[in-house]
Amino acid sequence: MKYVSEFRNADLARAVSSEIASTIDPNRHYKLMEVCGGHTHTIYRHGIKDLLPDQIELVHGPGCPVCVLPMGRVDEGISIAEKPEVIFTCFGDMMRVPGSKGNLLEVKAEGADIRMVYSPLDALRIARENPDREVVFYAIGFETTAPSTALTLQRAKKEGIGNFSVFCNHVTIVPPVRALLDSHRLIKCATYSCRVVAGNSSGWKQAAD
Amino acid sequence: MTMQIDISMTPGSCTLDHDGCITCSDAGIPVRVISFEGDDALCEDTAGNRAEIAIELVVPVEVGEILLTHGGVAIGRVSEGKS
Repeated sequence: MKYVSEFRNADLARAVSSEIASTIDPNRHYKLMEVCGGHTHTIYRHGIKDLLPDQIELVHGPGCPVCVLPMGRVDEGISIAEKPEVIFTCFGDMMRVPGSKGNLLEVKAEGADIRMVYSPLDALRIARENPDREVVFYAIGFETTAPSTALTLQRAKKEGIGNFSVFCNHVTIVPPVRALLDSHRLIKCATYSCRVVAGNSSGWKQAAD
Repeated sequence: MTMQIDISMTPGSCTLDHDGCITCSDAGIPVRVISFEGDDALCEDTAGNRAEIAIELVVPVEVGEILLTHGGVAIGRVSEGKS
């Protein structure tokens, strides 16, 4: 899927906008919340609010795992990455997140061995290939991503890989969304983290649906 | 951990080469199992991209089955159909 061409197709956007307008109950007020700060920026940058009928109010939500990461956690990650014996691995999401004195991309430019990975399993492979270095994976994400970190640790233990460790910054989506649902306001949770959790909790799934 | 989610495998699904952030996009990518050995499966997305996916969380798997993946790990099964 090519995001630039398909998501920015004006004809498609107008068609979706029309369908939304024809689908809603004009006598009802809807509140929709996105979770991620990146989504918030996209909504504003591309004027999505102006494509929606007046009955739909966009409420900006709790933030994604990257958005809500405390600056101190970034600083701690950087201090680990700066150790000469460390190969520091992380998702691309984290490279430009600012700490109090810079970000991982800047620290990498200064000589730290920081490598972007798609999966924590890639970080484990790096550890396997570099037995003389300590490979640290900067773990971050909601319930959707946490299983991949856990699975990687299980594999590391099973294979006896002693030079792999995780700096864990996983967060959960359930508490803030449960608080919002308990306020009896309609929420559309479009992220896979909400689907993952909803699929494993019948009561919460009913509320989420 | 397994779950049933109705997601179409028609073009338009997220693909393995999506350029969004792993955590911010929180994208689940449907892929079809081409082959498997041990804890890994060779899978293919709707665009024809192939990658090795960890399958410990959803075993046993079958060739042809559609899995939902995130960060290189299969986190659920997908039944074909409209989302």
